[in-house]
Amino acid sequence: MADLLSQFLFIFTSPDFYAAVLRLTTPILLVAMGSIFCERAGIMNIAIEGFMLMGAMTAVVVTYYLGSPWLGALGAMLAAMVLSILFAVFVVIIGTDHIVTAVALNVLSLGATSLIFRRIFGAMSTTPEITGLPIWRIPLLGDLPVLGNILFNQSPLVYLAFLSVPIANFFMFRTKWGLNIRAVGETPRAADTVGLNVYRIRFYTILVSGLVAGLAGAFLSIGQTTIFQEGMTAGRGYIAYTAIVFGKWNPLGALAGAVIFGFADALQLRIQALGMGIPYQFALMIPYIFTILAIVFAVGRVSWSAAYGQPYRRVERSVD
Amino acid sequence: MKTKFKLLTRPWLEGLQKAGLSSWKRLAPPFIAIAAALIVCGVLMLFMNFNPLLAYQALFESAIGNKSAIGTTIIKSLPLLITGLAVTIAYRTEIFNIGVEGQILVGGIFAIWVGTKVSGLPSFIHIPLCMIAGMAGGMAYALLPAWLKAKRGINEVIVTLLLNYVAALLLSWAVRGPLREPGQLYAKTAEIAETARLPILVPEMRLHPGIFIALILITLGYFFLWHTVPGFNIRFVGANQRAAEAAGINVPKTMMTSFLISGSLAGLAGTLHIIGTEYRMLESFLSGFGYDAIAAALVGQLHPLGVLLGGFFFGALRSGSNGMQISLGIPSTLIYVIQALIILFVLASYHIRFGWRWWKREKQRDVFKQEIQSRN
Repeated sequence: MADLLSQFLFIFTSPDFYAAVLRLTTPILLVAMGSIFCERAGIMNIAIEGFMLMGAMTAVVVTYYLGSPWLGALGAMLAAMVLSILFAVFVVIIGTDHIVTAVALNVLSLGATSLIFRRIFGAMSTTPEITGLPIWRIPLLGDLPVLGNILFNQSPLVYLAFLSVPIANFFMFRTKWGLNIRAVGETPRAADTVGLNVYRIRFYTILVSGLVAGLAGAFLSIGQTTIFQEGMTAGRGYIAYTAIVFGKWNPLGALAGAVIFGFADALQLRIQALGMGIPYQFALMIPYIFTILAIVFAVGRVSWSAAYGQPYRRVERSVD
Repeated sequence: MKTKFKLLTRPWLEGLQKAGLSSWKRLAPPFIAIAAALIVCGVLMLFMNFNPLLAYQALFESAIGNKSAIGTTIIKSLPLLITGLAVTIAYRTEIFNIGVEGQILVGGIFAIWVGTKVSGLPSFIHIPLCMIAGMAGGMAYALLPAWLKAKRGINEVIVTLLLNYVAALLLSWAVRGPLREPGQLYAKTAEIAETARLPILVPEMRLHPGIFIALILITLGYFFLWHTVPGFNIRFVGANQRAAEAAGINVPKTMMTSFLISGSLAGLAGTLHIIGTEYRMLESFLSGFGYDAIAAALVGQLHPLGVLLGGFFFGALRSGSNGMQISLGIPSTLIYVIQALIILFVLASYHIRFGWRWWKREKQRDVFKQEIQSRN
């Protein structure tokens, strides 16, 4: 028991652990900040899991052929956006059920990514040698004693993810566009009446979620590592969705959720590394169990709008 | 007004609430969706430099080309028939049980445990015991999301999706840890005792009596949904939750019931696959079959008899994709693409059909308007 405690103490006192928390929070936070707008516009978007996976695969392939991880990240964003266009066409224009469509898209992404990857790199799925995204050491700040290594010696996408929180917050609550998005999600009919194009706003917010999710996927495959594995997102999209719900659809709340799950992920990695007599599968379960507990205890009966997750049909007004 | 609102927000579920597969209009969409998905997938294959015609030929031949192929198809369809029914029953209450994937695994782990650790029982006790254990496992795994959904109104989709990952890890642990067959290089569980195995009826097709259990369950599922009171409640809650509440139906209880039935059926599907075909579990046990089940249920229009067709279709796709991979080197993950496209097209087909109907009505209104104007 004392041994276990000292091991946990060791984990929690090492600066590397906190650097890992930030690194593992990043993909979840990025995705959450990208899709919080379409969530606010009334789309229940769990297809971000599939967008991320598509981004992760494309990043590796583009980096392999063009040699630049930056172009890889760009390609990831575009590929994920193509998938998000498909999602938007079904959900917004045709008006299909958000959840079933998203699940179908995630299956599509799982199949398509492994199909393309196996086609390009052979059935063994051996990962090619590629260079990942660089690490930016911020001058001066990076030289701070302990904090320097934790906060300012990270991948540029880590900085971007955390900077995106105040930006998203400002955009959501201080700009006209943010107001329009919130109006569309809250009461689409009223928003339509005052002249907002519900379909267009929802369509564009989904595209944004696709773009950003692609970038987050790229971070998984060429930021944290330089490999792609089939299904490597392993539910991070769902976890990001939960972070949004946990944060009651506010960017700052979603940040809290994402950090909690990043913490769980980092903890899980450390437990695996130290052994500690726990089978590694149980360590791997920690983030999922954290997420489920977050849903159970923190969320309750929360749904911020009756229109949330419902397809919007303008015609209802004219048919009666 | 109320009904029209409902019709337009969830037309496809609304359209499915009626029993019976009567008109061709109801039968056509799945077939159109399947055809469209195969065509789109063929185009994708062309882009990837595969020959789609050869691919589909290989798929077809290794799915129903000869006796053993048909046997494999039936064996692969069997879990899908039962899990498809599981998805259907849950969906009738507007519960989207994506957790089937995990419930299969946990049911399977329970069944393996009873099958390997318990010995010395006669077959007629051991086999039912395995099946009960499997059903209990599946039901237990559905308990948390069911309770959260029914009592706290928490969306079951996210919880079950996350639980699927946990179940896969549980299986990985069981296969490598407590249930592992000692002295084996490759991690797998020991085989279940002879007494726990179902007899093989047709050796060259590896058929076992599980298929009859599946067919009986599908028939029972139909009677349950349309000819019993709990079944009626389930459909009522699914059709209109508020009306069901007003009519005095215990909505949380009905939700729990349908979710737990769904979970136990999923567990049973895993169990039958073990005691009838595989006799052991690997880490890859029935992986992806939960998503197949959703596709089968949706193609089957959320009707037990439709599930029968949908289950066999996706079972054939599963067994055919293996042959395609072996003979042409096309990765079997292609079927995920086909499957996803089918789901998308099935969803879209209802909307497009209802959209067409609305458009015709709009046209009629225009005609009326013109008439009125011309009279004035």
